[in-house]
Amino acid sequence: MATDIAQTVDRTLLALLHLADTGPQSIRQIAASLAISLTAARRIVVTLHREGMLRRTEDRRYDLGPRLIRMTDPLLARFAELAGPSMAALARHTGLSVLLSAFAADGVCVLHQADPAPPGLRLDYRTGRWRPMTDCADGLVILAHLSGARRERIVRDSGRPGLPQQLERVREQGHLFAAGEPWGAAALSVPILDTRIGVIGALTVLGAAAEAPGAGLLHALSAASGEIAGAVLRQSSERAG
Amino acid sequence: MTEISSTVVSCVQLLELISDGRRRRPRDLAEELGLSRSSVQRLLSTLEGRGLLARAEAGHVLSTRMRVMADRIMPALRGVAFNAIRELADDCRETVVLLVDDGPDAVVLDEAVPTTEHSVRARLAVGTRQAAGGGAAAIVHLAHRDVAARTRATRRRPDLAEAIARAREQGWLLMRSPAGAEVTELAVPVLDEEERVLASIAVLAPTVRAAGLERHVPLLVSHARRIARLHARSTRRDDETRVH
Repeated sequence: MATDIAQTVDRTLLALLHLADTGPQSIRQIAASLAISLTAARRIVVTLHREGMLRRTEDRRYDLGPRLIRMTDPLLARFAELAGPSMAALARHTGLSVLLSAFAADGVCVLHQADPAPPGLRLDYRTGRWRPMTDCADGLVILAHLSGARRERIVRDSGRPGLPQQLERVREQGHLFAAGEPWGAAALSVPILDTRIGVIGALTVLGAAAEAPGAGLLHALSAASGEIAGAVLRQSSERAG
Repeated sequence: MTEISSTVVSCVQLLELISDGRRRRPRDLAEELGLSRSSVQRLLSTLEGRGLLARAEAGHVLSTRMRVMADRIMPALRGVAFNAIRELADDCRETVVLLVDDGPDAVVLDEAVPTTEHSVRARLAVGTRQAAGGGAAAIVHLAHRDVAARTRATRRRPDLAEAIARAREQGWLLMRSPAGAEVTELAVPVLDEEERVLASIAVLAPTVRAAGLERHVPLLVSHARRIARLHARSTRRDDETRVH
């Protein structure tokens, strides 16, 4: 009985992970990929669908369902909470505003902004606003570090010539300096990398000057990014899946 | 009729409980779910083993991997609609939801809650399913399906025929929510170039504030067209690249 429970849960999770990788699949395809009977696959899929974890497409295949988005939304707030102390220290140290961004639906959202004290005149980002990844330094840094297939699709959808080469340079350098952000400020962005699953966000310092950043600023930014990745790792001692 | 797996249901309920961020001991989880402690331990260790849960101080949390999975759900549509429905919510000063097809039903893909001084707001959580005919958005979806689907639905629910006809004729639908809450919904379809429903957007307001809600129709229609246009642009580019 105990083995049955563990086996059913494991198959359920494998079905979810499989759909995350492949996109919509029929029950027959899910059964084949998990090497289980059609009856067992149907039971898992129908239950997951009834519970809102899957959505049925027009052609009667199944995909991950929006309930998963709602369940994981609080993780973004937690990410911002964990990053807060390192961001505040970096803002104090550099005298510049610091942004934390995460990817969301093929785009990027600013989750949190830390400003030096006293804040004075500054550019204040609207948190929670969606922007295409290809339109901003933080988005490009995240895009450069995304896994192959997803990155390729977003690059293809953007239709921007020269983007693959630009992303290759970002990966090589490990950061991106953009003097011409749409609002006229300069931005220096680095990725926040989780050693187990890859890029989980970007950390950016904003400056009014359009001059290239010094090595000290880049070092401080990279160190803060490493601290945030460490804080995420510490709060969840996940085993590799 | 396929049998439902109680183990899968427990697994989803466990994830839902853990998703609120409150740290609970396995004993507390077992009590809340009505399961034995050993069953909960087994669920937890399997979820942890596959990397969907992480062990944290005094309990478990959903892993970052879960968020990465969730972010792969209809990213193109969510991306192009994200700002549009939030702007709409601020303009209408009411909650706005984006729904997509889910078999014969519709399901909430995104929800935008306005920053207003209202003490009461209507809400429809992401992931909530609206059965065919169970709300203005679901009827708008139904109204743009093929004749066979509409006939099937009206055979089961003859009372829907009038609302479906109205939604097709006007291009929008305003109605009191049949779900029981005192909420009124105004829904418009997001149609692709072949007039098929890609999604719908709906404004939700407490019925006491719903008088004149239809004044937002032009705004909703224009946002729906904008979403459809942006979505078509991204998918067209995708198709073109594949052809070459």
